[in-house]
This record gives sequence, C-alpha cells and structure tokens, in this order.
Amino acid sequence: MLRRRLSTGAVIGGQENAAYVPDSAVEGRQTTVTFTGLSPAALEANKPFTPLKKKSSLLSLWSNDSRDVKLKNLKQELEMDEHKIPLATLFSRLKTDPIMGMTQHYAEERLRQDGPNSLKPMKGEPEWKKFLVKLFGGFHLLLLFGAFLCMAAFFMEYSSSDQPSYDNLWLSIILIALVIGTTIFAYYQERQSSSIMDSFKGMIPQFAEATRDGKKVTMKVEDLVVGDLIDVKFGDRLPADILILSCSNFKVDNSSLTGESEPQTRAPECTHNNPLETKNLAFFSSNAVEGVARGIVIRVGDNTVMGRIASLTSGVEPGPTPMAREIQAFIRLVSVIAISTGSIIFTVAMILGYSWINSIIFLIGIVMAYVPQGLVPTVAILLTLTAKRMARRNCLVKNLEAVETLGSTSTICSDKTGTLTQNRMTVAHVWFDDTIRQMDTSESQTSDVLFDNTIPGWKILSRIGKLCSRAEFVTGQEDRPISKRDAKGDASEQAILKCMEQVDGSVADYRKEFPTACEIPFNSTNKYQVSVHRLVGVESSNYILVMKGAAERISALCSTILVNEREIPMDDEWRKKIDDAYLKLGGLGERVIGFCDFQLPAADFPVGFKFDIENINFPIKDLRFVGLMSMIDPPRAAVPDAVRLCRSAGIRVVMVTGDHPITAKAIARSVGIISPKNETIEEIAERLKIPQRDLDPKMAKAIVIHGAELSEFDQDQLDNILRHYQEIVFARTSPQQKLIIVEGFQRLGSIVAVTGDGVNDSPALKRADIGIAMGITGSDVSKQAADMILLDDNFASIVTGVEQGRLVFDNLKKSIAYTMITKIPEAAAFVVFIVANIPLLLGAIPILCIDLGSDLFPAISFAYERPESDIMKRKPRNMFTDKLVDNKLLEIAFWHTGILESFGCFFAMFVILGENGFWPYRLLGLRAEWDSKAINDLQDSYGQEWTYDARKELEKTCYAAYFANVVVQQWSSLLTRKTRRASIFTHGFANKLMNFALFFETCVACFFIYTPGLNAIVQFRPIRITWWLPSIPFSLLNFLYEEVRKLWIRKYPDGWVSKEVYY
Amino acid sequence: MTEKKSEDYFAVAPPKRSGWANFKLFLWNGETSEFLGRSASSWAKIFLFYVVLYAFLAAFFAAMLMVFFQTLDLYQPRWQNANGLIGTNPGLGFRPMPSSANVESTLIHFKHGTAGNWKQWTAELEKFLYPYDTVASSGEYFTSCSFDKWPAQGKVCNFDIKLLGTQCTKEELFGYERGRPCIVLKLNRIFGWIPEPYDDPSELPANMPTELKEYIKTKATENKEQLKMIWVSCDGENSADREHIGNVTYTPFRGFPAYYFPYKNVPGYLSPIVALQFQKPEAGVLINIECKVWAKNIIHDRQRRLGSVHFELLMD
Repeated sequence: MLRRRLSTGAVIGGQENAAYVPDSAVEGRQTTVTFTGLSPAALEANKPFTPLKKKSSLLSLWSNDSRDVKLKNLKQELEMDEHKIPLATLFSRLKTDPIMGMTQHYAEERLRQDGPNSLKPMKGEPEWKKFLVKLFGGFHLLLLFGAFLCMAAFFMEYSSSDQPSYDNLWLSIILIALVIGTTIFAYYQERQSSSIMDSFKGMIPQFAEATRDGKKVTMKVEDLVVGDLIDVKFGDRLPADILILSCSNFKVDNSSLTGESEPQTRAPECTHNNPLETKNLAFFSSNAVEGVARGIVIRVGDNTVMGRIASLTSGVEPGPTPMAREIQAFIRLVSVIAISTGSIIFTVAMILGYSWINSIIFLIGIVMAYVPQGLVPTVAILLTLTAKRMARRNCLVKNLEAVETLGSTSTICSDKTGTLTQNRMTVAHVWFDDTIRQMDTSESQTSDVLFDNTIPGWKILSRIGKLCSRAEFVTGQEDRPISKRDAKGDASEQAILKCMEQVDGSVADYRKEFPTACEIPFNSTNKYQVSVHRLVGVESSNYILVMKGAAERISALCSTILVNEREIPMDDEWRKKIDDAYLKLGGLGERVIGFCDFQLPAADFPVGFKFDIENINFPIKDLRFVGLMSMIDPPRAAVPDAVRLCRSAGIRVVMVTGDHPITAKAIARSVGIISPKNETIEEIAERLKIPQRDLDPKMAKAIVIHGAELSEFDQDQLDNILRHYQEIVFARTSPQQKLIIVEGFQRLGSIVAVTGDGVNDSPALKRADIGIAMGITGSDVSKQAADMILLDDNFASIVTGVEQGRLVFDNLKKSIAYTMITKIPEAAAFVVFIVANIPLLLGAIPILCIDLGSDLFPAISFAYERPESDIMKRKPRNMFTDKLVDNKLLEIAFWHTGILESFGCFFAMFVILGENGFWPYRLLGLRAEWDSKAINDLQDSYGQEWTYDARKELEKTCYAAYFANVVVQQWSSLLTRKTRRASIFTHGFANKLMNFALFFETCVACFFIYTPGLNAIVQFRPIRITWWLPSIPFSLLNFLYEEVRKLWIRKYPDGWVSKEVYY
Repeated sequence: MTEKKSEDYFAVAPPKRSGWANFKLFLWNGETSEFLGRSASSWAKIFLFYVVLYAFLAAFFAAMLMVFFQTLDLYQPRWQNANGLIGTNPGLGFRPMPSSANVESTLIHFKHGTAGNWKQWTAELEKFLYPYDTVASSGEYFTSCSFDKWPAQGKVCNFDIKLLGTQCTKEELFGYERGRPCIVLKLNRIFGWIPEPYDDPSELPANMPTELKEYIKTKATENKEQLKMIWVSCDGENSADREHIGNVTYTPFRGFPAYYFPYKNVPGYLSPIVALQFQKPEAGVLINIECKVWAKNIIHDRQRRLGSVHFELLMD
C-alpha cells in the first residue's frame, strides 16, 4: 500500500524526512520510519541519486540533434570501481603504497604522462577568428562588396580616362575604413566585457600534503598524480578525487557538486555502488569542513568528477542569444531590401542607357543608402550602457548581448542552494514550553530577538545549546556581524552557536562559567552528543549533564520534560506533542535537533568526580527533555519579492535542485515558487483524505518531481509536465538532468534563464539562453559557464535584469525605427536622380555623414529613454512573433516618415536651387549636361550661364542643405520615436541626453558643413542659415502626423488602421 | 482553460518550412487567399490608405512650393553674383558644340572640302545664330550701342549680327568647307555682373599674351573708349598646338564690349559674341585650343575652366 509510484511527489517528500534528522543519523533510516510511518520498501524505491545508466538510454532517445559522440559520453554517468575493489588490488593497480606513498621517481614519470592536476581552461574561440567573424559579419560583407565595386569602377575609369575622378577611390577607401573601424570597435567592446572575467581566473596557488617515499612533502596541487597518498584536513579544498583510507570525523561539503545543502560524512567503507553516493570517495573541489582524512588520489585534472562536469559544460554549445538572432534577422531583412532595390535601380539604369559603370555606382549608392552603418556602434553602445547600469546594481554581464536576453526570458530555472537560499544553516524555530517559536533567519539577522529571552525555558534550552557544542568562532573576526563570522564545527552546531551569540551575547564567556568536565562527541551509533559541566552555586548538584541529538533519540532517553519551569513526567501525551512538533518542523524542510539535560545529584557526584567516557559512570538515561531546535538553510530575504515580480512579468520560476524534495518544496513554498493557493496532488489527497491514485493528477497546478522519476520520463511526458503544471520543483536532479530540463523548456519555445552557483549547475548554465552565476558563493566553473554574474548573490538583481533587458529591447527597437527613417531620403536622392534625370542632391559620402554623424548620437540616446508603460507588468515577448524589427516598423519608417522627410528634403532642394536660378522644371532631364565637364555654359531659369565648376559647387551646397534638412526633420522624428503608443506630451521629455542629442546632432551637422577643409572632404559647402529652414513645415507635419497616428492607435486599438500603423 | 494557460507560457513555434516554401506561401497563400501576405480586401484598403496619405503629402508639398514661388522674383534670381553659387567669375562658352549624344566631348572634328562632313557643325552654328538673324534684340528695352554710345538707364544693347562680317556667315558655310572654320565664343551670363576692363595699356597683366598686349596698345592709340572691352585671346594649349593652330582672326571685336553688361535677363536678350576664324589650321592634327577672357575682375583657372574655355579642333 505504501509502495506508491514515484510519480507521486508526496511519497518522496515523506521519505525524505529521513534526510533531515541530524546528518550523523543518515544510516538510521529505520528510526525515521517510525516518525513518518513509511515502510522500508518505500525508501528502497527512492534512490537518493539518479541512477545514471538509465539516463544514458534516455539521452540516446532525446538527443536526436546532432551532438557529437564525445558529449554524449560525457552526459552519461561516470563509471568508477575504485571504491568497490579491494584496497590491495587498487594499490597494485596504482603502483603505490598505503604507508610509503609513491616513489618520487615514479610520480614524476606519471606526471609527465598524465599532465598536471588542473582543469584545462575552457577553450574559447581564437582571437583572430573572433575578429574575422566580426569583420565579415553583419552588413560588412555588403559594404566590402560595395567597396570592391567602387575600387573596380575607379580603376576602370583610371585606365580609360586621362582625368579620372577620385571620388570612387575615396568612397571605397572610406567604406573599407568604416568596416575595419566598426570591426575594431565591436571587437574591443566585446573584449572589454569579457576581460572582466580575468579577475576570476587568478586563483591562489594551492598546496597539498602528500607522502612520497615515506616522507611527507608539501607540493603544489598541480603536481599531484594518481596514486599519491595525501592528507586532508578541515578547511582544505580537496585537491583531487580521493579514496579515503582512514579518517576521523571527516565531512565534506558537496553542495557544489550535488546541490546537497548539508555536509556529508565520509568513511573508509564503500556504502554504495554509485560513486557519488558512497562514503569512501571525496571529490575534487569540494571542501572539507570537518575532521581529517588520509586518502589516495584516484583521479586528477579533467578526469575528476568535477572535471567531467566542466568538460560537459564546455561541450555544451549555447545557441545564439535572442538578441543576436533578432539582429541577424534584421540584417537579413535590410540586406534583402537593399540588394533587391539596388538591383532594380541597376536594371532601370541599364534600360535608361547609363553605362554599366554608372549603373554599378548607382547600385552602390542605393546599398549605401539602405545599410544602417551606425547600427553596430549603436547596438554595442546601447547594450554596453545597459550592462554598465546593471553592473552598478551588481549584475555583471559577461556577454553583452545577454543584457537583453533576460528581458525575453519566459522561464527561470533556479537552483536552490546558495541561489534562493543563503547556503548557511540557521536556526529557524525553537520548541519549548509546548510552543514553537520563530527565530530570525534574515540574512543580516539584525532584527531584535523575536521573543523574550528571559523566559526560564529558553534559559535552560540555550544553556544546552551553548555548552553541548564543539563549535567556536574563529578568532579575530569580532568586528564582523555575527552571521558573517566564520566558525569551526558542524553546520548545525555553527547555526546554534550563531543563534545563541545573537540572542544572548557571548557564548565563549558563558562557557567559562561552566568548565567542561567531560565530553562524548557525536557518533553515528549513539546519535547524540553529551558533555558534563561544572555547576556552581546550586546546592543539590555540582555537575550538569547536557545532551543534544536526533530528536526521536533524545525523547526516547528522557523520562521527564521541562514545561513552564515545572518538571513533569514524560507520558505518551507529551511524546506525541514532541512528535507533532518534530513533524511540523520537519515538514517545513527543517532539520530538527532535540535537547535535554540532567543535574547530577551532588551526593553521587562530588566535586572532582572522575568522569569516565569509556565506561560511562554517569547516567545517560531518564534525562530531562527541554526542547527542540530546527535549522534550515533559509531563503534570501529578497527572493520572495523577486519571484513575485517575475510572476507578474509573466515569467515562470521553476526550481531545479540537487537537494531533497522536501527541503526543495519547503523553500519553494516560502519563496513563492509554489504559491499559497496552489497545492500539489499529494496535498490535495491529504486534504480530501482520498487516496492519491483516485485523483486526477491534472487537478493540481503544482508538482514536485524527483530526479529518479524524471529519469523514467520520455520526451513527451516531460513536455506534458512542463506544459501542464504552472509551478514545478525538480529535486535530486543530476547535472545532466538539469541540462535536459533546460532543453525541454527551450524545445517548447521558452527562452530560459538558469541561475545556479554549483559545478553541477554549470552545464545547464551554459545551455541556457542566459546563465546566471552567483558571484560570492558561485564556483569558478559556474562563473565561467555563465553569461551573467550576480556579484552580491542577490536573486532580486534578476528582476532588475529583466526590466533592463526589456527596456533595452524596446529602446533598441525605437532607435532602429529612428535610424531607418533616413534611409528613404538618402535613397530618394539617388532614385530621383536616375529616374527624373535631375542633378544628384546627396552624394554617397554625405550619406555616411548622416548615418555615422548626425544620427548616431541621437540613436544612442535612446539608451536613456524611460519605459513607455510598466514593462514589468506585461508578458515576455513571443520569440516567434515579437521581432526586434518587423515589416511594420520598416513600413512606418520607410513609407510614412521616410517619404515625408523626402518630400521635405526635396522641397528644401527646390528652394535652394530655385533661389540660385534653377527652377524645378529646368532641372528635369538636366543631369547629363549638368554632369558634363565639356559644357561650360549651362543656362538656368534666369538665362544665367553656369560653368561646370559653379554647378558642382551648387551641387555640393545641395548635399549640405539636404543633410541639414534631414537633420531638421530628424529632430521631430527623434522626439516622435520616444513612444510607440503614448502621446509624447504625456511621456514627457525627461531624457536629458536625448534633449542634448537634438542640440548635439545639429552641432555635428554644423561641424561637417562649416569646418573648412573637412567640408571639402565630405563634399559639403557652407550653406546659408535660411537654407536650414525650408523643411521645418515638414518637420512639424511629421510631428503632428505621429501624434495623430498614436492618438488613433490609442483610440481605436483594434481598428484596421491601428493594426497597419502600429509597430 | 488549462490549455490556454500553457499557451500563455509557451510561444508556439510556427510550422517549420523551407525558405522556398515560405516564399511560395508568401507569394500566394491558398488557405487565406493572400497574395504577398495580404488578402484582396486588405490590399484594397492599404492601397487606399497610401493613396490618401500620399495625396495629402503631395498636396502639402505642392502648396509649400506654391507659397515659395510667390516669394520668388521671376526675372532676377534671389542670390546674385557673389551671394549666389554662380559667383563673379564668368566662364566662356563656344559654338558649335558636339551633339548631346557626345555630351562629354569638346572636339570639333570634321572633314573639309565639298565632300566633307561639316554639315553637323554648320547646322549647329546656324541654329545658334538663328535668333540673332531673325528676332534680333528689339523692343522697348533695346537700343543699339557703340563705344561712344552706351545704353541709357534701363536699356540694353542689342547685338547686330551684321557685325560678324562676311566670312563667318551661313552663306560662306562658316568657312568649314574651305578649311577655315569659324567658332563662336560667348561669355557666360551672370545676372548683374559688371566687368572691369583693362582699359589702361600700361596696366596689363604680365601673363597676358604679348600679341594681345600689342593689339591693346595699338587700339589705345586709336580710341581710348575702345579699350572698354573684355579681351579675348585664343591659342594652342601646348607648343605643338601653337605650331599647328595657324592664324586666328577675331570678329567683330577682339572681345566683348563692356557696354553689353550687366546682364539683366531682359526678354529677347542675346549675348554678345566673338567669331574666331582659324585661317589655316593644320589638317589632320588634333589641336587643343584654349581661349581666355581678360578683365580685371576675371581670374583664370584651367582646371576649373574659370575665365576660359577649352576645345579641340581636328580638321581632316
């Protein structure tokens, strides 16, 4: 009856209570069963760690994509037998000796063979390749092709004419310079952001104590080889994977590898077939937190478990970022438009009888006009500015494009330990006087004591907590807040120590009042810890015995209980009360510890009594039960709010952890990953008192899935789970499973962010669209794999990231909507020149002055534009339909505003040419004569005759005026692009940089037009002030039109017109 | 409802198609009867939308242009001389010019003699001189002038074609048949531009051809008034050209008399002209010829063709 299928999370939850009794009691699961009422069979069904053999078959089923075999192998579980085979076999295999260690000579030889004991750095792409990708990426190929054609046209002309024009040569040189310049800029930007990472690379050299030739030597960790005999003590980072030969009270923190939040005991015996579960293996990069051990190195460097995960990580190829995809799509779209328009113009020009050289030059002109040369710097600067803004809020972005990814994110897969939680055991509740009292678990722990610490019950309980403990603070850190001080000892003892220090003041001073008479340290058979202290000032007693241990064990050893200062006999009623409190606290995912004491009667134990801990000569039964304390790795304070904000922004937060389901669920509940209104199917079953199998699993909206369960799912089942359940917690997942979960979400069309700090999170971090590592607690491997690092480990920074990401997407969209407008006036000058045969009104180099001169700064100023609406209240964008640049955006930019601006520019041209003598009618068909050097007396509308030179001066004046009038009209375009819906007047003009940009772009234009020498290079001539003005009516019309358009969109949001004119 | 929820969470990927299939579907989507992504009614609506939008824009543009032309004088440009781009340094023009099919060329190439192919050039000259022949410059604004008789205020001088003499006439086929081609020079009109002639033989610039200096000095002895003239000098560009150019005569004057200036855009105005006649150009040799006009306020720049004109003569 109790052996339910694993697909019911509650069973797992129930069983896993076992893991929350004191760590030393892990073997004593039978005992736990009495508390939870589960049979051993149920436990059997739930292996703590996913059997990875199953995994491999699963993988072959899932990875239908063409991943290479090596990666597949890495995804499979590691095969190890060192922990199972007899030691003698192992020693002979490794050619080592359990006492003498290896010979120095042979060790050196092996070092030469195997290489140093270090992780190969993740190989990035070679720098030259990165540079080349930038050089030929984006529009650069198009521009380089244009430059090539220009160069070809120049040489053709050069060889056939004695007076060649150098314009084409200039243009091609400028284009090549532009491409190289942009490349260097983009490359430098990327390098700059990635160089931030170098600070993480500088690791302090570490040393290990090895025995070679029977002598102890301290050597660099890199020089260790397989077979070396080494000693490890608490505080060390394990230098390699070792097999434990002997140890004393040795515990390692495996949280980085497996996600388990509690330190694991190690012992020389093989306890499990799974190398990750067995007690006689300790792994590279995990920390020894307690005790000492002697072991033999069995794996080094990349062959270590951690090394394999690191290689798996580097083998996982992250896809292009959403931003890169959007920009790629934009580039493709514009290239298609540019090339097809250019080809049409080329064909038309050929039909109209232009020479093919001229036609090619027209083609280049059109392509030049359409290509937004300023795009690369604009995007890079926009992203950099956002990245800097985020860095100020402790969000370090390694990959610039990742800045936007968070904004597109629809699913966040978060690790628990160290990410959602503080990764620090803290006393959360105490139970005494039949009352559960809450303790302060906030990170700062500065709030006042939550209850009266003068209650006698507390005094008794805290005395045991203070005395029955081997934990003590590391000296020299007295100036730090208590919660931040380092302490020696077991994690739960540390938690109690800090709690006591916080509530009652100095524990060390207190202990001095009660000198220790004797002490029985914790061991896994007794499951308790006892110490006896001298008691002064009490008549009836000279000594007090204090004891703490597994709650059920302690309650069994007691015959009385202290309630409200009265000692009353322990009856079944009180035992049940203790059980209830234990279960309640255990259900919160907390580890519960029991406390009891006993005042040794003065008659039997006079002062100076010799306590013997070998043959115990004092009572350790029929003690006085005092209370319980429960500990948890508490959630970080900012997390619940952050989760809520993510929710309201339409982002799903899913927990993926290596820790046990019940802790996972408890934390998920307390941070809101499982919301209060939602229940898991087990909870529904319990509430309705109906067996779970009678319920439709789809009733529940929340689910806790165990790794073992997950490994039995096929792809469809997983997809169904991901689709159906709104709130999901994955517990006991392996690094490989984390990867599979991320891929599952991605397959279903999510953009996935993964947060994590451990080595076991690294493959998922890398595979995610954006991997977010923790800066303080995070392992180096996770930081390497991540795209973003939260320097303060504050999950709430993710909310900032989402907001900034969405904002930068919106602003980039607006910025592109702004810069693309001028493409039409630029192209119009060419098209009208070719079709209507009028003189050219805007040359190719002046086009660059617009794109890279006047328009650049305003385009960048969009970085500082505030959001139009509450961007955290809307859903993440749909990656298939909500594009950065879509047809609508281009349609509005080109065929509404662009055409309008072209009209404005042509009007300005007709004014300037008219005032100088050429009326519009006269210009039609004038091109050939205008451009002929042979004609030195071209008549205008007033009968005046113009030399070639004067005409060209007029033409360059026109270029300048065209440029000036584009700028004048871009003033209003800049302002109107601030919003897509809202009226500009309600949105306001708070973007100071943009206001400055209006002024600045005008200055840039003046600089180009009026600087002697420079204006000659860019083919400009100084223009009259009045020639800036003709397009002002068009600029105002542009402004008015945009306001009307937006008004219409707001008024008739569902109307046909709104659908056509909203981008 | 559950299904809807899941759609909320996951963006639904569009069906995967090849690029070509997508393009075909874009061209014509039979399911929705969409052509290029729009149905017929959608096309009609968007067409109407743009017709209205562009009609409005065009009307606005036209209105602005009309307003602008209200402010413009139809007879004199707003920006004149140094205020405008045309400047104060007139260029020179020559006739006959090569046909518009050969718009980049300045080569006058013909074969003389009765069997020659000079028709194109004489026809061009005839066409150019036609207004001088027929309509002449007459009417209330015009008057005939001489060095002793400058035009009164508000009047302009007409140019009498008879002054061209007997050689450079259409009756003589402008000398082309006989191998003594006439080429007409005219100074570019610049509204309101007034020349400052070299009217003092002692102040002639150093770079003026000696031959012209001599001529001016001779003229000075005759009648000082005749020096109020923009002088013209034509010669081969290089020494080889100068060898082959032969003698050149200038009719009716060795330049443009100053009384024709300033140009005021009077209807029917005809520019004063100088007819060059090459008396004996070397046949079969390409001769580069540069003509310059000389006045105190004209500077020369061969590259920019300021105050000068360049053409080539090739007579077979």
